[in-house]
Order: sequence, then C-alpha cells, then structure tokens
Amino acid sequence: MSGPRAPVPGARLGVGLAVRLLPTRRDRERYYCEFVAELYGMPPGTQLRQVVGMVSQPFALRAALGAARFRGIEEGLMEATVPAGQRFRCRYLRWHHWQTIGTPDGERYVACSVCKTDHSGWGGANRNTLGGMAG
Amino acid sequence: MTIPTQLVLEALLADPERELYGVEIGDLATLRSGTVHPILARLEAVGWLRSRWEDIDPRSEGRPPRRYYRLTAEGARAAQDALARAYRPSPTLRLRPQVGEA
Repeated sequence: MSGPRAPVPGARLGVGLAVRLLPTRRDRERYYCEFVAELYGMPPGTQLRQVVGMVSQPFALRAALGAARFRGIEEGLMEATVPAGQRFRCRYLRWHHWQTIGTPDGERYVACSVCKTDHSGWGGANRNTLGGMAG
Repeated sequence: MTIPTQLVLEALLADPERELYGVEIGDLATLRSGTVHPILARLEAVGWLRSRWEDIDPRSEGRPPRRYYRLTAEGARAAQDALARAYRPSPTLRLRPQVGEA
C-alpha cells in the first residue's frame, strides 16, 4: 500500500503483544486491525509511543471487554436456571453448550450458554463439546 | 466516574455528531491509547457509544479502515447528565475534612 506511512515492524509487533491478552479471538482480531489502522500516517517515534501506551494497559481493555461480554450474554440468553449437573459438565469435564450469540452491533460469536466461555475454534482447545452447536 | 472517562466524554461531546477514531479521541482528551480504548469499550457496552469500521477502499487510501466512534443520542444525554453531576461534589463530600487539615 502506498500513501500514509505504514506502521514499522516494531509497532506491529507491539500491537500483536498488546492484543494477545484479550479474551476472544474476535476481540484480538478487531483490536489488532483497529490499533494498526490508527498507527498509519504517524512518524515511527509516535507509533512506538502509541504502542507503548497500548502495551502498558492490556488488562484494562481485557477487563472492559470481559464486562461487556458478560453483559451481552446476560442479555442474549434467557435468564434460565442452570442445573448443577450442567455446571459440573462445563467446569470439570469441559463439555460446553455452545450457542451463537449476537452483539448489539450485529456481530456474532459462539460462547457456552452455561459458563460463558468463548469458543476458541473447533480445532482449538475446546474440543470436548456436548452436542456440538446448540441453539 | 473517573477523570479519564470524563475527559473522553468531553472530547466526544465537543461535537456529538462527529465520528472520531481512537487516536483522535486520545488527542482531544489528552490520554494515551491504552487508557482510551478500555473506556470506549465500556461506554460502547452500556450503549452510550456506537462504533463502525470506516467505509473506504484500502487500496486507494493506502491504509486500512479505522474504527470510528460516535455518541448515541441516549449516550449524549446521559454523558451530559453524568458530567454535570461529576463536576458538582455533593455537600457531604465538600464538608469532609481534607488531608492535612487540623
């Protein structure tokens, strides 16, 4: 791409580190794209200062997104009482009850309707699913 | 409400119709990106803000699209109310002895 100055490799690396701690892959992808786009056109020194700001407070963004996600799930799902057996399967056996959930801005993601864990991909860590996609 | 949140809301309320991206908001609020984005995420989660990807052709612009934020109508009203309250400490707080007072 020609035009505004692209982020220097160090800045891209820093952004990658800054978003690593975010709770879901969707968040990581979104904020990586957002942060990189914001760096375009800045001088390298400013880019690096900006990235230091991002890297210095990853837990704040993680906490903010976690709170938002929890609220979204609470609104998206019916306030059903979860049986103890289902909670046990989620917590200890990792048998989740996946459900597609919509966010207010129209995006969709998959999370367990019981324990609120975000799905990390079908080939990823959460391989033990009970009944696959529910909904 | 924290001071950084007040600064972000003031920046957005300066022109509620205008869409701003993270760095612009940070510049207006004199805050770093690491401080601004968590606040934006929280404000968006409570419905005070709406965000969208910029609708551009990255090839012609030479850069990827930015994420733009804008106050919702409800958010602008709520932010004004919240800022008005934030700037007026309650009588209880005003009467509380300050550190260092005899």
